[in-house]
Amino acid sequence: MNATDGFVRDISLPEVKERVLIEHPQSLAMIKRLKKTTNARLGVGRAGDRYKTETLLKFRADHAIAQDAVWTDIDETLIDEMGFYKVQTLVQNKEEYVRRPDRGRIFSDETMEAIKRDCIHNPDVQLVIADGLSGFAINANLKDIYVIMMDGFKEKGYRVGTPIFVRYSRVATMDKISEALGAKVTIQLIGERPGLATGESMSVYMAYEASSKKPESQRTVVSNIYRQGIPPLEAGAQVVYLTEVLMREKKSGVELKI
Amino acid sequence: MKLKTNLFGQTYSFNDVKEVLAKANEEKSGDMLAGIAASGNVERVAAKVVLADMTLKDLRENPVVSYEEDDITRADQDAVSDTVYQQIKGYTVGEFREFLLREPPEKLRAVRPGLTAEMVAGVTKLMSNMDLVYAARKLPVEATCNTTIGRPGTLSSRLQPNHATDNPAGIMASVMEGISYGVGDAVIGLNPAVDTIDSVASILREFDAFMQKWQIPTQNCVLAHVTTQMKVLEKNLAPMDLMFQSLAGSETASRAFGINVSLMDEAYAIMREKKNSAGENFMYFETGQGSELSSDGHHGADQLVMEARCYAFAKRYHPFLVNTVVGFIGPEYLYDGRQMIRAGLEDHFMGKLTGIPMGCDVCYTNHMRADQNDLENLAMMLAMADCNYIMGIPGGDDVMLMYQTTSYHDVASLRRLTGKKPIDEFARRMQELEILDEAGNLTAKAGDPSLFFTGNETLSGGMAV
Amino acid sequence: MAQEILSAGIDIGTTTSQVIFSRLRLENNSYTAIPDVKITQKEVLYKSPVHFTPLRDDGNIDAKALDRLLLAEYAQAGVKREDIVTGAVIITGESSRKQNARLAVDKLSAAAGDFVVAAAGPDLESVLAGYGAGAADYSERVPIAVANFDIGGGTTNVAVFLGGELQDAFALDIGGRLVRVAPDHRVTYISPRIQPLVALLGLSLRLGEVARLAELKELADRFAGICRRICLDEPLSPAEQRLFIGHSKRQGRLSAVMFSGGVAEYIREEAEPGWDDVLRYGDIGPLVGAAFWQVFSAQPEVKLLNPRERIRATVIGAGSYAVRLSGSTVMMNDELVPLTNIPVIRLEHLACPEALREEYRVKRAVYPAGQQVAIALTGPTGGSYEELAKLADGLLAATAKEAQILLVVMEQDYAKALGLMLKHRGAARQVISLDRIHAQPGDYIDIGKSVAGTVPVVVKTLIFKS
Repeated sequence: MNATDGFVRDISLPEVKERVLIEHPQSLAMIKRLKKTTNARLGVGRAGDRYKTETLLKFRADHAIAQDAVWTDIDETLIDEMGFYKVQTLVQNKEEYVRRPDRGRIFSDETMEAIKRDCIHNPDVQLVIADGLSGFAINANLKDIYVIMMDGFKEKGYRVGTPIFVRYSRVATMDKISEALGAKVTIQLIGERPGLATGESMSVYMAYEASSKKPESQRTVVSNIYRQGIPPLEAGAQVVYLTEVLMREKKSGVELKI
Repeated sequence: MKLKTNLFGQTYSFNDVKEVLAKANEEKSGDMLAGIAASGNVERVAAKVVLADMTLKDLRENPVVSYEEDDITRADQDAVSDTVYQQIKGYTVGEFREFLLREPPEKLRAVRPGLTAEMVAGVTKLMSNMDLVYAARKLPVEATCNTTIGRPGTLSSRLQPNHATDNPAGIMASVMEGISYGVGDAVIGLNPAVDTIDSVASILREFDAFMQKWQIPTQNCVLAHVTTQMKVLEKNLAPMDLMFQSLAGSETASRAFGINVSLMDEAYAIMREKKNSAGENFMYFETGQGSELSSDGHHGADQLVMEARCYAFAKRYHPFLVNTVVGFIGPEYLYDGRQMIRAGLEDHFMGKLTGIPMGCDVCYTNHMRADQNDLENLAMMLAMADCNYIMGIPGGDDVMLMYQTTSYHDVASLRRLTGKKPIDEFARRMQELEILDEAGNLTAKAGDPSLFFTGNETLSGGMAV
Repeated sequence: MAQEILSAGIDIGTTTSQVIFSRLRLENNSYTAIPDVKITQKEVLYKSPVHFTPLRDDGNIDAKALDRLLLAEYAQAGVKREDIVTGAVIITGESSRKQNARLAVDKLSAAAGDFVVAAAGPDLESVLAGYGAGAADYSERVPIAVANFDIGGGTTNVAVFLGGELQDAFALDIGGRLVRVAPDHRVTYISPRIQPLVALLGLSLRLGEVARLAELKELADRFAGICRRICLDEPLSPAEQRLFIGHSKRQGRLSAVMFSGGVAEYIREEAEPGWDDVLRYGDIGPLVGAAFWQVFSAQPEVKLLNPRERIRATVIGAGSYAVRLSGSTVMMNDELVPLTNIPVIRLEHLACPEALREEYRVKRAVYPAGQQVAIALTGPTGGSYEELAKLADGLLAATAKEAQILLVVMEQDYAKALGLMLKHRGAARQVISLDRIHAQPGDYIDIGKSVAGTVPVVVKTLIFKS
């Protein structure tokens, strides 16, 4: 562990969770083995009936990063660098975003008009980038997944629409955008609800002719995208493959056998 | 029935019972999302004042979803004992609150058959947090599966060994550690990541084999959809002690869960015939405020009264376990720790007043304004309220459902704090395994899952020549 | 979603041959558009009788007779060759050193089904027997290493598992048919491999002469004693040490063992065998079995476990455990497979295209120019687009002059991304890119047609060869 000079040990590192803290276990080897079979917090030992200090602080750190992922507004530097078109739902701030999922699914009339005015119509592939419940997830994964997807789309000769970034967005904004622009396949990248210690997990929702009149089951989903889960590059390659399938079959979600 | 009052020079009037119930509710983000919450603190109290003056008869005659359109309303109303109802129908809700706080347990028990969900929810809205704890303690409910839960002096726990991919070895690792903390007397119950017949059956068999091998007196359960469990039973694929289902409080909302009263009647009948357990109580239900709104089945009613209707649904099947999963649904229904704590106390009290053996999944998600301290507060309050059971999970972190609930450590701590023990047979077995002492507290050996891999035992188990 | 496939296991041994068919259940338990396919059940549907391996007069395998035998077993089991999706043929024991073994296997695979075929190696045999006997599964439930000794006619193959993972594999010239006797008690065969041991023991055992039961028992006892000392890491004499085939055991005491193989049928608590038993088989197998029972049941240091299978452990290992599944996001072309016996080149310099090219050139030179090879690697260093692109460019440059399939297997979950890049940047190259596969230099791999979105792969591990 990184007990570098002058630093207290970094308890946010994944290997901290691998440590067995039980004092005098019957079989340390077996506990290590048990821990390999699950990422549950096993073998933590106790102080009286309570947690050891390391366990408690590790938990608090893991919860803190998850909460910050939810409550921090997305840093749009990367979005700006990539030159995406930017819009916002009816939601005005994080608090409202969390309390009012209904308002995070729709745009004002003006925003809808602007999208129609400024973005490419009738694309084969429409990208929607949504902060969702974790802006951290977008910033951690966007670059890699985007480039490999674009490689794939270019090779297939797809007409790619204007990538649109939506602030305070729920999944359903992809339907509105698809309807406004007449897209064939709409692909939304969205930050997932963070788990403990993971604020960076992203999902991809895909639909053929996405529409707010269709049920949620219209969507094909790839989730758990982050470096330690499904790497963004691999997820991107899978999205390219799935896009081909959606274009060919002209359907998505439960109607599609993959 | 009076539907208006004056407070501080202002008139507050309401259209109907449903609106009074909604506005009398303590603040919940879900009622605000539904657009039915009181607009301010004074209106909320005005609604409580009007509610306190209504009779139980008014509440019975104005169910929030009509008898004709809803099978849960029918199930609830049809189950009312007319004799008991006649004795209590004249109580105002305010009087009923005082009755519950004043009278001894036997008298409280006697009124249960006369109640409907709206009465249960109504009186809850008039009670403070301490009222809820105080009254719940007078409403013990016992139930018997392989063992008996809810006896005075016990605090039971569900061992929840969830795993991201249902790897059997990983699940059993969590089971071993849980048992080594004396957790699991209510049930060893997994929320499966994979809802298939084969997977559910094989995990049930794993649990059963472990319980047999180590002679652990408890119940097994895999919390798959009820239809999956029915198929496991029909094909006789695995021993099943408890059958599980999530419940909602209206027929419409139940549809989103893929169930209705007649399907549950059928499930109950199959389970009665095929179950592996001994006792008369063999169903396990989970509920939680807000699920009706999330599936658009709330009929304009508040989430507390919809929750009470889940309990009316549950009692039809004489369950062994029922718990609210109080902070799982998210901040759009219960915004923060304060709302979560309130809801946990309400749900536990309502379940006990309904007459079901109520436990609580004291929990929160990462997008709620709640943290570990809120969770611990509610867990301590519920232990004081004589809640039947809470969850036990490694380090409080559910790696499959991605939320935080009470840990193995919390279960042990609460027992020590309140002097409570697990279910008797289980406690005795824990003593034999040297995990708990006579007082029900952890021994020095406890908390070590490798207890199950020692000495000669390691190589027996039928394999040694 | 579940799918069932048929797998065949064929074991051609020194003495006996067997066939089994098993049903593997593949389940995809993913609710998202990335499948997660696992083998969830393995059920042996049919076990053939134990046949004597047909040999020609010159002692080589009679390929034609073997073919007939096999076809008869397929018919008996009611299995058509086209139903077989995967499986393995393994040549075990002394046969594996016979010249025409490979030839016979090639003929076999054509007759037996278009499936993945494994040629033999003593360590692979050990591993498959260990899986088939149940040592791997059992080791998951105990805190110590579990070893399986598969004692056949010609060799004893040992695999050591800890927590379900293979730790070590080795083989010994110890077996039941290393000495054979005729009904008149005359010795008809002594394996040259045990001559030094016979000399060391001072036995009068000679080809063509009458054998003494006491001497045969002494030899058998010594075999068992050697294995016990091997378990306990106790010293062996040079003659004993020479019984190791190729390489010896890794350090570390083995305190729990099980025995499989034909000889293990005699490792039970039964009356002491005599001439009758010996003459029934014409070899010392029963004596060896009894000696192992006596030695191992009489001591506490090494625990004796029951195997799940005895004589059929290897064939069941071959039929049910040889195959591995790749990850679910891969770059695959079913028209290019099956590929069998592809040598593995493992590359380490993944971050620098020039170094990668040079490393590949050196390692590739070992094999003939026209040979298909597989490139094994961990995965990209880091997970960024730039890093993966560098790896793709390096691989394309390194293999630019080759006409064969660009075949990459890696551990990390990047196969589809890398495959996409290789195709994107490599113009017309044919690409197979698979992940969640671990292969070492010197290994050989077989690749079958994709099933349920994943690709069945057999990695023939020779890592324990020194």
